Amino acid sequence: MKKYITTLVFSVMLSVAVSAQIKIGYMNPNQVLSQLDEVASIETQIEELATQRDEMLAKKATELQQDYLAYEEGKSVMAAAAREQKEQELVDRDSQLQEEQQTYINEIRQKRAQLLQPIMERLDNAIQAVAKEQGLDLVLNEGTTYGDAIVFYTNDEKLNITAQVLERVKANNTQSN
Amino acid sequence: MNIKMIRRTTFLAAALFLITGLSSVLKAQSADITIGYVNPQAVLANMPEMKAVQQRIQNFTARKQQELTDKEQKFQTEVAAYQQKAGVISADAKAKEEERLAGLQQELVNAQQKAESEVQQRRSELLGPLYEQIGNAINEVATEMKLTYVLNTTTSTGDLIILYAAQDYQEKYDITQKVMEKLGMFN
Repeated sequence: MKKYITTLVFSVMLSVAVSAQIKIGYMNPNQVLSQLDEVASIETQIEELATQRDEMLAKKATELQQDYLAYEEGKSVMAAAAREQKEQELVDRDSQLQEEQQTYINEIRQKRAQLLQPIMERLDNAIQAVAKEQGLDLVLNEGTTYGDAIVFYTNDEKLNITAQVLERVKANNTQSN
Repeated sequence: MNIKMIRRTTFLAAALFLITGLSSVLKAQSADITIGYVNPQAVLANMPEMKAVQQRIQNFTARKQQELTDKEQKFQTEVAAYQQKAGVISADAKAKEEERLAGLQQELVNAQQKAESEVQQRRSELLGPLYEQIGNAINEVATEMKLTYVLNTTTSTGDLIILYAAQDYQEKYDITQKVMEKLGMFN
């Protein structure tokens, strides 16, 4: 008799456990990143790099502009062939400059991603660790980097693990230093 | 069978009835919401049709780009012609000519915008049917798995929507692979 009841109770517990509800947490990765000193220093580094390149390109653009004006002034006394050659040169330089601008934007973007890579990894590990600790099945992003909300509302603030993740990312940093 | 035995059996039956009833109530309350998720971009990238579609988008973009470059060159030529004669024509003619050139420049800007939206439109025309196939495959997989929801993992701008999924959860509810199989990939 006792045995039956124990089995029954056990099977009920089991069925409840199986149908256990999915546990979903959420967090905001950008909030974590914005509070890390290393990220700030990377952003400064990137800005400096961008400023340097900007100045370099601006200088080239001014040079080209001046050369163009000089050509405009002097072209009436140039031979047709020389004029054509000069024009071609100016056009080539212009498109080269535009290309450089594009490559430089890509380079900066890449450099930034490269510098942030180890921090992103640490962030990922921290999310994993906190989620495991809290027995979460899923962790949703609270919002996109463009500021769109993904999670608007929760009735349980404890499901927001941003603070714990931040703490852990910071702790891992001091360990590795 | 003595009375005691009967009582016992009745009690047991009642207990069984009660407990199974209770457990089904509990089950119903925790109404098994099941959430799957999929990365449609990964599916799209792996579709065999994708190569041809990308080529067509590229060709279309290159053609539009060429059209724009031609227009721009024509405009530059007009500007150069104007600069040559600017010194020798009347102020009135000069103003007229400048107005004409400004109009041309505006046309150029408009053409640029038009080309951009045309490329965008061509893209969605070509990708639309593929997305539709993916959508249908998602529906089928979700129905088979009796999922309540299927979430997207990533936005079109590359932001993650799902930052983490527990290992066992992932194995069960990341349906990206299943969707690809449903579409006949890996056969």
